[in-house]
Amino acid sequence: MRRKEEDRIFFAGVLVVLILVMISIGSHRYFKDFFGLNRDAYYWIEKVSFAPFGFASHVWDNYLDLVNTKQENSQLKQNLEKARVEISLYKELANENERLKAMLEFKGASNEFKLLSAMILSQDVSIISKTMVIDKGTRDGFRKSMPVINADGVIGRVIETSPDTAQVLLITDPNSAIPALIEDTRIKGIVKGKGDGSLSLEYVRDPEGLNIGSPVVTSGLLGVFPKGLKLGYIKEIRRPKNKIFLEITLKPSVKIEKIEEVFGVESYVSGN
Amino acid sequence: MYQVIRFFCLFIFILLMETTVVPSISGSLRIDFFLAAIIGFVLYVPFSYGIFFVFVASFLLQAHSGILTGILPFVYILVYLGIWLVKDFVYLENSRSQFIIACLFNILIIASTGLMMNRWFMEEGIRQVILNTATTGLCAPPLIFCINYLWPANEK
Repeated sequence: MRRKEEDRIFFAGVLVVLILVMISIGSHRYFKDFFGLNRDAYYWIEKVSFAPFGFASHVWDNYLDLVNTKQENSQLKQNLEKARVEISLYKELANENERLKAMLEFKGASNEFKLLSAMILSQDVSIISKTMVIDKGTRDGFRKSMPVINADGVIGRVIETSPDTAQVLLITDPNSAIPALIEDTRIKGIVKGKGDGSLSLEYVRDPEGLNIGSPVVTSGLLGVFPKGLKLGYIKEIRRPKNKIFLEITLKPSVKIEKIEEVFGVESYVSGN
Repeated sequence: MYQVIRFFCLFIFILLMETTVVPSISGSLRIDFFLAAIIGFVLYVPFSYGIFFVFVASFLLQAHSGILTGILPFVYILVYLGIWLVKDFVYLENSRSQFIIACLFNILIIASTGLMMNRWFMEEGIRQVILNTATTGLCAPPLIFCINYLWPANEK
């Protein structure tokens, strides 16, 4: 009996030591490759497990849930027309911008973007860390540090990739830091995740011109995120005693809990 | 072989529930089904099988988390050993004590992973932590019952 107890303690001890070794070499490439393989396997398991539900949902959406479709269709047509007009206006502005640049002999190259769509595969198992796994990987053009956005703004950036999946660090994670600026005043700072679902704008000293509700966008510094992508809105401004910088809390422009589809931003430089 | 397949199916169920099904119902809700499974293993599965499964499964879970490699297996192994010790002093085979143990250890897991990541776990918001803990506690007894059912008495 005593011998059995000793064996158990020894076994548990060996595992704990093994894990401590794992923690100390945590960022090793072999671990990353193994986890990538693991996520790829999960991609297929998830696809197979939810295939019957997907089929049922497909049948429901395409054949049974067609009530009010006509009304919805005409509404969507109207929205499409409106969007087309808006796009043509923006195209006109872009052309004008190019012409003016040419007139001023502006030498800078202009960025063009290609969007790669993906669906969310899984969310982080822990509430301490804010990451998610998407169902597209290097095979579809996703790569490390690629910005991930949707129509409302920035969601995060890719931190790990495998052939079929990619892991995304959300902007709400405390490890996330993005160079940003306040859209109205052009004041620069760094947007960091606070962990509780909100963001903070750091290294801003001057409260002049700051308003609650002002949008904060990416500044384009460091080159990871393109300039002008929406990050959030100012929710609270505080001036703590004995501190140089303001404490600015932001509400993310994207509702992280409700996102389903995301886009990876592939940027490439074109022009002169 | 049969045991390996059973463990694998249970792990897939836990993974699908934790990372895909529950977050698709509520984006911020995280129910720790794995903790409930650990309580079940302590109660109904021999030590050597239980601890090995906890080690392998928590290592595989690590792929779905942004937490530093090794922290999840480390915390879950300690939780397994902790519940193994508690088992001698607390009667764990009723739903009420399973609920309480699951809640306590869930808070312990959040706090310890937070500390190891240099974060104070209440940063997540007290309401969020309470909600996650309570739902984990509520889901524990049915899952523990399933493990008892999956692991027949003659194999214990």
